[in-house]
Amino acid sequence: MSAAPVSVALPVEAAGDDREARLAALFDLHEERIYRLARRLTASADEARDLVQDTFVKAARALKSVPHGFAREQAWLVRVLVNIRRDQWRKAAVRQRSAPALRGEVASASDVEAAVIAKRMVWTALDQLEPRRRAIVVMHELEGMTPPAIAALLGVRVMTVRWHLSMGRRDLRRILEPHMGDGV
Amino acid sequence: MRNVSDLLREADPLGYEPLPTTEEWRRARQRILGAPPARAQRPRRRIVVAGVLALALTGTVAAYWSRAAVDVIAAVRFEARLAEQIPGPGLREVSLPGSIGRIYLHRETIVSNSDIARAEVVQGTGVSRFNISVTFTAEGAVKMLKATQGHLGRPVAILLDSDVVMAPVVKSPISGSAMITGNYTRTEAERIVNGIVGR
Repeated sequence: MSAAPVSVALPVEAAGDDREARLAALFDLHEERIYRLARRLTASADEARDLVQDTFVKAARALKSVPHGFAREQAWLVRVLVNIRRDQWRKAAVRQRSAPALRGEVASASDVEAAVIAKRMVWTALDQLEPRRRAIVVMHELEGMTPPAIAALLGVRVMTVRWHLSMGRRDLRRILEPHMGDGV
Repeated sequence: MRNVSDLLREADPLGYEPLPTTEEWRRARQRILGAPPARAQRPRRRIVVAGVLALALTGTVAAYWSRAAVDVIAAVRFEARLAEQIPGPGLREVSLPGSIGRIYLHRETIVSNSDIARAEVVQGTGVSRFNISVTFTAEGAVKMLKATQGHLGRPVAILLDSDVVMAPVVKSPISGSAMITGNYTRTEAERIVNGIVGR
């Protein structure tokens, strides 16, 4: 084949308009990130899987409203995930879960069991945070994101993020104080 | 002495829990791809599952056959490869068509004919008479995105029958489709399009 002279521009469109291809690409590119966040917003891996599925099903139903581009797709999915979690949280009143009961178990269990139970208790304490606050806390504490990056992802102001971080830490400190060691 | 951050990091389930397996992802992917486009009357779950399985099976068989056909029949071999502007170990030096420039090709092919869902001739403007629009399959789009998002500011080469026809600098990650903006005649562009998709 003789190569004709070519320009050096490469006009690139976002993902094609084929619905299934777009949805599949969306899933393949973002599944892990979305699962990681989902897992950190839920009490169990099963709940996290359901949350991931609900998020992508929402994307499947409203594919035309999902923006193009990696960062914008991710932000859209994260916001949808957090909103679904907020709806679930409101309905389920997760706040009444089990921190006091687990505290009793720690005293009587062996060291290994106690460590596992303590981990679970810390994780359960997060259930008492409103999901958006929890999302902000885990993105900052566990994913290492800065407040401006979180604000951009969630579409809120940086000040709002800082406020949720401060309130989230305060709430967690209050719940977890007995396990933080002296002087904290 | 531990603070809230320490306790959270210690308790993070992702620190000790495995991620879902490939098989679990595959099943989730199938369920999601079978989701209806708009909120309509909710069909019975068993019917949906059967439908998804049937679709997935048909799709897999069709993809297998069409891919095999493309590999055999494709008359024009299409490839995209990462390239560099400076020489390096394992890179192959090639001249750019229509210019005195040179680039240095990586050995690995990012996408080839089997990663193309469709290609079509598009009328160009200005000096470009006819261009070729290439739309990647879902897998192809993911491969392109993964390869190009870490390659910003450096060239990606498009090869037709092992000849580099263009090597634009990646300005943003490439995923769903690309336009080969050669200054082709309609006949030449059609020949390439037909050759790429193996019709």
